Amino acid sequence: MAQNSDRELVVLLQQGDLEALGALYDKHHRLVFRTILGIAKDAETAADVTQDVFLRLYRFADRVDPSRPLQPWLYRVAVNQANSWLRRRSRWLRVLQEMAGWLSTGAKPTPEAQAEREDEWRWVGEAVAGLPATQRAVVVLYYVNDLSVREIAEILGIPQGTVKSRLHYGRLSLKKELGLPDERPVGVQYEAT
Amino acid sequence: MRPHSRWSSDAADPLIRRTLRSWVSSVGPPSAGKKRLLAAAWLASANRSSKPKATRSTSADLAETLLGVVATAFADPVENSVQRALAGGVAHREPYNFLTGHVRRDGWHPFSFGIGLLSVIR
Repeated sequence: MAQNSDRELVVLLQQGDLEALGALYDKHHRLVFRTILGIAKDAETAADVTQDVFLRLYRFADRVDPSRPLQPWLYRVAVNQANSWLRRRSRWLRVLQEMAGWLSTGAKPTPEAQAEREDEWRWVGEAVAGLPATQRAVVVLYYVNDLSVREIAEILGIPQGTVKSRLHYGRLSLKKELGLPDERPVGVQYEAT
Repeated sequence: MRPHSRWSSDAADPLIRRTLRSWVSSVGPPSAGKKRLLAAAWLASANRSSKPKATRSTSADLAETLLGVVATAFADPVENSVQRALAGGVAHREPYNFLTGHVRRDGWHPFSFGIGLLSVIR
């Protein structure tokens, strides 16, 4: 089953074959997980949203065209689901942060929180998470998934110029956060979209 | 050089790429992810396959309701009970008379209730 092409697996999936779903998960779950992790920053969330993406693939298999590559479909759903999660979270986070601030005024950080803060990669995650959601999706697809500007434009359904603009501003922010020199030439202007 | 062509030749790109990839690679997807997914998908398919049963149940309910309507019609010979039963017990109403302003009392209450409900919705 694992040797079957995506096309064959999608056709089997459309017939309700759970084994085909497992094979597609084996083939693609890492790229989906990493994309969502890049956008959502949190591994637990990335695991949940990854499962949601593959459940959607199973549920809406009849809407997937087997003759077309599956990866763009997976990327699109992964980005949409991750962004939906971010929107839901930001709604609740505001309320929870206010409550937490009210409850823990003057409280010292716990040892677990201290250890988490010292996490080796935390600063990178925070640099990416500091980008606006629209820039974050583009930056992750470009740098993590190594997709071209044209592919990102097709996946997100936006013009290539918008992708380039978001990449430009995303990169500027990342360079600043990661402490890299900005070598932007004088006179180059991008319209923020 | 076109402004956007700089994207592929920026000195910081390889470093950003390497840093972001190292970050996402430092956390792997859960090992039990596949089992969880297949269990959830199996559950979803089980729910989906049980839906026709629910449809049959709805059809049975509808048949039962219609049977009730007919039974009520035969059991209530005084008024036009089929219409009455189908209308949920609301009797035939005389139309509103604009000259006298008269509305049959048993029709006025549902009418005013409807107006009130619309106001609340708006």
